[in-house]
Amino acid sequence: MALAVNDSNFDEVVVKSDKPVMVDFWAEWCGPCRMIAPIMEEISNEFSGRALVVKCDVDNSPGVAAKFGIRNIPTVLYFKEGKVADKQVGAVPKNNFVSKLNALF
Amino acid sequence: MTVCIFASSSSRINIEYAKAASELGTLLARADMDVVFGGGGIGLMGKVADSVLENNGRITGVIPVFMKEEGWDHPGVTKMIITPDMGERKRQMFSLADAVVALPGGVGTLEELTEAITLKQLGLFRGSIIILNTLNFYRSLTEFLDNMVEGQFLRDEHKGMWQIVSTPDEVMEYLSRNESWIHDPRSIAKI
Repeated sequence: MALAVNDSNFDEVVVKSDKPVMVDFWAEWCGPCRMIAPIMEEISNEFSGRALVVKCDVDNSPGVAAKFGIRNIPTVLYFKEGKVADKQVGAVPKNNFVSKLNALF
Repeated sequence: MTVCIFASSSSRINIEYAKAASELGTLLARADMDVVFGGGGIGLMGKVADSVLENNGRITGVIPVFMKEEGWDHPGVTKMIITPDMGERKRQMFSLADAVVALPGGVGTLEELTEAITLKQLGLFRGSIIILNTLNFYRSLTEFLDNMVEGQFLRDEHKGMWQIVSTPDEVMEYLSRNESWIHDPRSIAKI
C-alpha cells in the first residue's frame, strides 16, 4: 500500500530512502488525483521491495508542497538518492509512470 | 463557499469586460471566497485570477493537460488541477462549485453555462447560476431562453434557475443569499 507522507516524516521516508521513491502529490477534492490512486497502488505492489511509492496530501503538508513548488496536482515526483530525478504532471496512463520509475534503476 | 467562474480566454475584447472581471475577482477575494476557474492565463479568466491573487485571495485552476502543455495556464494560481481532458475539467469544476458565475465568453463559456443550467434542471447541481451581463452581452441568450419557454421547450419555473445581473456588486449580492434550488428535479424535468 502507498504509504502516506507529510511535513514531519518526508525527509525520513523519502529523502533518506536507499531505494527510488515515487511521491504522489494529491488532494481529496482533486478528481484526477483519485483517478491515478489505484495506479499508484498497483505500482507500489509491483515494485514492492525495489522502490517505494508514497502519497503526500498537499493540504496536510504545506511545507513539503511549498519546498518542491507543487502547485499542479496530480504531480508525481521521482526521487533517487534523496534528490528529485524526474517529474510527471497530470493523470497519465500507467505505462508513463512505470517507464519513468524504471529509468531510475 | 466556492464560486466557479466561467469566462472568455480572449484578450481582444472591449476593456469594459476586463474591468468587470477584475472587479469581480477583487470582490470575491475580499469576501474570502474560494474561486475555481478554467485555469487560463489570458482574457477574462486571466483578469479574474490576477485580481483574486492581487487581493490575497485563493483561486484554483482546472486545466486539461494539453492546454498546460501549450502554455495556456495561469502561472500564479494557488493550485492547479491537471485533468486528462475537457470533460473531466468540467466535472472537476462542478464538483468543487457551490455556485457558478458566467462572465461574457465564447462557445466554451456558453457550453459551461448551459451545462450548469442543464445539471440544475436535472437536480445534479443545486447552487446559484449567475450570469454577469456586462454591456448587455447576454441579451440575445436571454431572448433565446425566453423563446424556449414560450415554445414550451422549457418550463416557466425553470427561468428561476439562473439570475442575470449587470454588475459585479450584484453578483456578490446573489452569492451572499446562497439560495439553493429546492424544486424536486425529477418532477420538474418532466415536460
